[in-house]
Amino acid sequence: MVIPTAFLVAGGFYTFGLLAIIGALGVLLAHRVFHSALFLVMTLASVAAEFVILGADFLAMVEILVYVGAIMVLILFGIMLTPQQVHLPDIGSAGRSVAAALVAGAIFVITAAVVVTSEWPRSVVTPMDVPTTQIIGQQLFGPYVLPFEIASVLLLIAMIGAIVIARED
Amino acid sequence: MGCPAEWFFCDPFGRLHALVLTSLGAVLPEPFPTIIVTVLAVAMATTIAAVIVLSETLAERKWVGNMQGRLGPNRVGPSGLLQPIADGIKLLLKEIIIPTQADRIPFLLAPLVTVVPALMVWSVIPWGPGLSVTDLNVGVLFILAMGALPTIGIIMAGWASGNKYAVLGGMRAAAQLISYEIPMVLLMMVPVLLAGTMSLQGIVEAQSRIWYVFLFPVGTLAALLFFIAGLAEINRSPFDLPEAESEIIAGFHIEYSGMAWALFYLAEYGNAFVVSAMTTILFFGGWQIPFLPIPPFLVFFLKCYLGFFVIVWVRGTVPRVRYDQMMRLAWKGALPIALILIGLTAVIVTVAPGLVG
Repeated sequence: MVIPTAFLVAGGFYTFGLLAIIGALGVLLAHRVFHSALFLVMTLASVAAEFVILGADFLAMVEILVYVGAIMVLILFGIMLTPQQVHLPDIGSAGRSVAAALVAGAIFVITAAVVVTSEWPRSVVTPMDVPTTQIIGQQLFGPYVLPFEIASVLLLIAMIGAIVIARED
Repeated sequence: MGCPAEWFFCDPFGRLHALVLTSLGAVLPEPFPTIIVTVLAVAMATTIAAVIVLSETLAERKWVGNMQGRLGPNRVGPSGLLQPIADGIKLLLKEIIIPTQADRIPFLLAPLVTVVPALMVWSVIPWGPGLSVTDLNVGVLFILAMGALPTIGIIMAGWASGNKYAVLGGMRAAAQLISYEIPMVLLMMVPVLLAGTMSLQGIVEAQSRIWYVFLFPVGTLAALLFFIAGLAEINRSPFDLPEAESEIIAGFHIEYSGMAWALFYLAEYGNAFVVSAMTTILFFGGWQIPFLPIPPFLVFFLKCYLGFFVIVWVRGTVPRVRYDQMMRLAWKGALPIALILIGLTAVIVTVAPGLVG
């Protein structure tokens, strides 16, 4: 009996996909904010694992480095600095809750219908088994240099704005 | 020059790998031999990590003892050699106490979140030509990503312990690691730019003509700053504020005991070796040594252990820095210098590509 490699790859893909979904549900259902944040870490790490399986090595590492390593650490840092025993006031009456549930359910049905019915274009190109870093770099500084520079300027503006707000004078 | 690959003692692991692979390939169909050999290689890397950590704990206690005019451990075994084993048995037998105020699941998960990435790093470390469990072409990024994950574990430990000292330690760790991660990433880019690859094997091979630490001023300054940022990144003295005994007792791991505590310890000493290993790989030519026929894995090991000695030496001599001093060093010292060094390196690589080989 020979297990084909494709079977193992598919198994890994669906396992991590399931973990990502469990994490996403955990973010919503956890009672404590800190637990929500930890579930978010789980989701992001699972997505990074999916990137590895799909052959996007650079993207996977950056996902962990930026999202788990920096953004989640900042979120956890913020949670630790806020009081934990905060009782949120009830947001609205029962009628409002029903209305909210209806709207959310409708959005879910529409999205699900679109996902199920639409024809997803399947790429016939096999995943690249080559280092992606160099290709990403050449694309960023070649054809996509204008969006790249605009994003840089945007980040710079945000950074200066943050410094101006945070300055105490 | 160097160690000829035909000699068995120059490449024993490579020979062993080939032997196991061919003998398994004769019995089992693909992909089983590859899977088994990979699992064996991972197990071996983890075992080597654990053994190195054991030796490090003894070496550190001996060296710090000598620096302070003491003997260090000398009771268990000949001149204290079995002390780490005795400590390990003691830790295994100890009870893991969970405080009533603790958040149980994050409390128990935190040591694992800290130690698993710390061990995963060992799979990309190049011990010799072609001698690593896997040679990722994003190796440098992989090390950085795995270095960022334990932060989450430390914050989890600090928060879940239900102890204010632990929370303080966790917060200090978060702030410190974010601050020093940025100069560290930037400084890693200096050898990456010079070598033109992010594969650790590739970076070592690119240094066959000159080790980057000798490229004054770019490589030398980058190596020095990288090592300092590395010390901060792994919470070692003089940047051990997250566990400062005199201020917050033991910081984030104050409530941990037994093996749960030992896992933090394992991660910390594993990372101490990895920081020396990264400095060796990025700036000191990895497993390369000119003229001498010494096996590459031995060269690499000795270079890394020399780095660990410097870490212990710093601990034995430099007092702990104050919190604001540490932050100032990161944001006003290391970060601008790292940016300038990257700019200089880019200019050098563009203007005189022949200079660095």
